[in-house]
Amino acid sequence: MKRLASMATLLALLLPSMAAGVEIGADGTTIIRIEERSVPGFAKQTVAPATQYLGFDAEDISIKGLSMHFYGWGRLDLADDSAESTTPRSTDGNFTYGYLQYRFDKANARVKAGRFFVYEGIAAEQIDGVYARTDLNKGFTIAAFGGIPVRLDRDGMTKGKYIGGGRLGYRYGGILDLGVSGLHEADSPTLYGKEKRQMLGGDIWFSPHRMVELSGRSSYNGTTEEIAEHSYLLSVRPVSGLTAAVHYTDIRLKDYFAFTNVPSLFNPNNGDKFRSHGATVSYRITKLPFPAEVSLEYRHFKRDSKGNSDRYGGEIRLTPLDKLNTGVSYARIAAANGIMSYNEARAFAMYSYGRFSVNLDAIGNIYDDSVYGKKDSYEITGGCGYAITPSLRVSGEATYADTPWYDKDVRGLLRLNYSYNSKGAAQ
Amino acid sequence: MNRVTWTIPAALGFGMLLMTACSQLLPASGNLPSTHPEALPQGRPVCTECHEATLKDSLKPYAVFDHTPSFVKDHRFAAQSEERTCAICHKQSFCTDCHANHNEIKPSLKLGDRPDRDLVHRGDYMTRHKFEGKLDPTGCYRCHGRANNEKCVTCHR
Repeated sequence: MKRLASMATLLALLLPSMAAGVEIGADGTTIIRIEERSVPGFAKQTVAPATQYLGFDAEDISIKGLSMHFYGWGRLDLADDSAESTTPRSTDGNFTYGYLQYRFDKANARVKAGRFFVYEGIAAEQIDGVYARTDLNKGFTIAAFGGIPVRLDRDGMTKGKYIGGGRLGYRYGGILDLGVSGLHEADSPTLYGKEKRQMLGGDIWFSPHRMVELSGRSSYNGTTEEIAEHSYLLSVRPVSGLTAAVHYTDIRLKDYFAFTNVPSLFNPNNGDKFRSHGATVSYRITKLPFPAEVSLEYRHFKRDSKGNSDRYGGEIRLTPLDKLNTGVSYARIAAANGIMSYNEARAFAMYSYGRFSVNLDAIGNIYDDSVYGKKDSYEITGGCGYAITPSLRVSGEATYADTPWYDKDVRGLLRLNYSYNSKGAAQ
Repeated sequence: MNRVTWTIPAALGFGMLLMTACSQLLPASGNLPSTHPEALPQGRPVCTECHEATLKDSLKPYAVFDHTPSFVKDHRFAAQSEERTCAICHKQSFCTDCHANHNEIKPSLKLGDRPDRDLVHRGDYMTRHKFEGKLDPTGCYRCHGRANNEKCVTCHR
């Protein structure tokens, strides 16, 4: 929280000096929630957390291509402590990212330094460090990163000493994109103490014809020395608007979960395998009688320890009027023994007229067996918003729910969105 | 912080800077735009409604980036090699609405005024998480396996 406040103060001080000739964008969201919590055996609580999200971007600072980006949030409890954790705090916050980036004028080359997220092949990491990528000759691309991993939770120093990795790619004119990636984290916390976390991955995008596309990846856990994952998706687009996709996933949980910090949930010792396959078909109509999209989905899940389960369902989205978006969906989960089967139905609508907007969302579940004496649950949310200016919007939602956990669950939320761009356009 | 901790990232940083600088000497492709030149309409963007053929400097057809239902569900495959293409339209905060090491408000609540978005944990997820976690624990692991699990450990110790 202190670090977040320091960053916000620093940005406020830097703003005037950067203002000349620099494109500045800032966006903020303030959310105030109001809930009353009553659990038998515990004191009644009224919680009213106020959460402030703040984002800031400055482009072309002094040099064309040099930019700065910042995002974080802070929370202040206006009533009782709101955090549902083992260590409640009346204030909290998170410095999500803050980095300088320089974009070169060719080869898609860029360098980043600071705190940021990296998504390169096998790596999906939050680090304090540096990152660089560029296209090379003959279709090759290269990306690399290094630094200190950001702590994973606040109960202990659950992070490694340092982390590095990267991805080497090869592209061949609209047909092929192959990548090999890896990461190494020293002294990463595991169930058995600190170990090095090493992952290797291969990814592919292959489109032999404009209607057909294969995407996917495989990963190898270099610490357990076993394959952790195969995930592949084959998409076919035979005519405009129609997409059919089949997917296949095969995961060894002991190698996939090896570096969890919640072993009670993600037990890496059970030797279980998880496999899944399925298909999604969607069709989009852009014109007559009005825009619509229909999608159907089927997924089959298999776990060695649990058996076979299926999920199937569909969704229809309609736009009968300009600015009116609606959708209805249904899904059935037919689960293996020991896992509850259930039905789910949902409907939503959102409409905007001038400065006003309204939204409605209703979701219901019917469980095959009762949970705490109830076989069904539902939640209805209604909201409205008003744009005070193009950059300032206030909105709010009220929710009523009836679930196995609460008989009458009533919640309220008030939201203020603010966005500013020095070029005059709202973000 | 010992010397090794700093030496390795510093060496990596220097190497990457050198590599990027060297790449400027090579005859390579141009740049993808830093931002989309026009504001996009609300809802899932379909690139091919306006664009044809191939996204220059990415070498992939625009149709690859159409936000179809299967693209939205499996967007990780695009993210693993196309981060710079995603960045044309999305700031990193768009990703961190769901994927972050510490998120306090679940995405469907934070973005409650956007019921059209495919956001996780809608409705009575407190009940459903027990079933869905057994059905496909790898789906939970991607976000909560190593981070963003402070609420999980209040019960799952």
